Amino acid sequence: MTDARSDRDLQDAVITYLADANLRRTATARLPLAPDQARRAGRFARFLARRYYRDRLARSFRYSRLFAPAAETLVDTPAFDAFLDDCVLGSVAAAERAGDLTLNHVNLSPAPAAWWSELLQYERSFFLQAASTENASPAQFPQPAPSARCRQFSWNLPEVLVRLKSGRPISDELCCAITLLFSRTRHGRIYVVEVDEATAAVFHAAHGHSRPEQIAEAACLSATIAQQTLSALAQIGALATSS
Amino acid sequence: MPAMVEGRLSIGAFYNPHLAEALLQAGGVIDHLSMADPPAPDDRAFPSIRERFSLLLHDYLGQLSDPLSEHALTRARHLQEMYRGPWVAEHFQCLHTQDGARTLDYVFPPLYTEEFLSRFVANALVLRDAVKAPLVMENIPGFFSLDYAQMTEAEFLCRFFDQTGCGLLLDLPHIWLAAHYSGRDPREYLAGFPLGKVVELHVAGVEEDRDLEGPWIAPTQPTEEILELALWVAERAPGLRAVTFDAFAPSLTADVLLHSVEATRAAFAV
Repeated sequence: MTDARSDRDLQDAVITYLADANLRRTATARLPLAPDQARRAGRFARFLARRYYRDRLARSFRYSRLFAPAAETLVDTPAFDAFLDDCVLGSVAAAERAGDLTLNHVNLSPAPAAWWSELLQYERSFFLQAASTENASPAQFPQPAPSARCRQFSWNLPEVLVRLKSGRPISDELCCAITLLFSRTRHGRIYVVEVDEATAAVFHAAHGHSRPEQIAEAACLSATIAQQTLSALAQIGALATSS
Repeated sequence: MPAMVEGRLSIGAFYNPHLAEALLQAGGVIDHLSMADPPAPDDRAFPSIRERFSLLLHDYLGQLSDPLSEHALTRARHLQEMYRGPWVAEHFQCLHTQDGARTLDYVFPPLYTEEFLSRFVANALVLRDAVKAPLVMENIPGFFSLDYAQMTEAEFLCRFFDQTGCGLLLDLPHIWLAAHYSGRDPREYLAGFPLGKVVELHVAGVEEDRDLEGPWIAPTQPTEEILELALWVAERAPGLRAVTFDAFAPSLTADVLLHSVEATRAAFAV
């Protein structure tokens, strides 16, 4: 009937079944569910997923709504119904797909401002953190967390957001390169931090196959500084380390 | 901050930060506020809110099916030190996998088994000791059932409260929904529930949901049926101290919140 070793394991199997539309469709979960109850579970799973993404979209796309349809209205579209047919709730892959659907849903042509597409990319990167729960498995070498993203912007997005919030004009002086790192800790705290070139280099060099000293060499840093950077990135959930 | 008055039923709502000004201007309509989230650092109204209302800790502190981390216990203790409410609430739910990789992010009950009963009892006592305040536990409805339960929800609750001495936060829309989806009358569904342990009631409205093809909890005014059920329970709950309109959502308006609390006050003749 089920491979669960304990009641707690069985509960995990039920949670996974509700979260994973593919698992429900292939009926391989081997849960003690009568057919009529399995149908009800399927309806409940869609209800949970629609609710989850509505909430995360509303929290993540907070500024684009000043110019475009609110992102969370995506969940009431046929495109989102199709997404629900095979999404894995809380997975980074599902968040990536939902993020892409959202950009199609809220994007405007022509763009309302020069920084518009960058604002959407900022909100999409934030959404990846808010709408995912996957954590990196313990690894021998430092590796990026599944949802962590390091991205260069050509506008100073943190300041653009401050201006949008306060209704102040966004002038060309904010058009300057900035690198932002988006991450989430295991406790769910989301960070968006500006990083310098060296920190970005450490993040990109930590791909799960290099020892700290190799990462230091790739980033042109001393071993001590590289180790401090790795620790700082691990603290904000951007990297998973063996410790 | 004001304390709840002993021997007087307190009628309240959840703190919705976007309605802070309306709450502060509501006069004597609201006695207490339940806190589902910590106040945001930029919430300038919160100091006045804390000054004006009794606050109840109703945050997500952790799922009591599993041992709480030191981080979670410390967070719970700090929140209770900030609110200083007469009790702290958690839920009979299990919605995260043990490895944290999957979550349902919403109310979902545990299997009603001996193993889960032991887990909830042990972890509830740890939480209660950590926050140094009485703990009340809220019932959670199921939408489907597995052929696996070893006892009913009512038996699970009775045995939990007997073993822990905790109080019951009876969420009536949850009861109404559980009864509805099992084809029973809510009063019949409540037979066997430990109503003598009830400390707080939740009331709210319900709305149709297209995925469920039936009703679910909504941030709307409590229906007459829910308020009548609340009165029915209150007559059987000598330890009842508070009734809370259970709604927190960005879409909630001040009108709905205040009318809901007023309707609750009128129903209880407070």
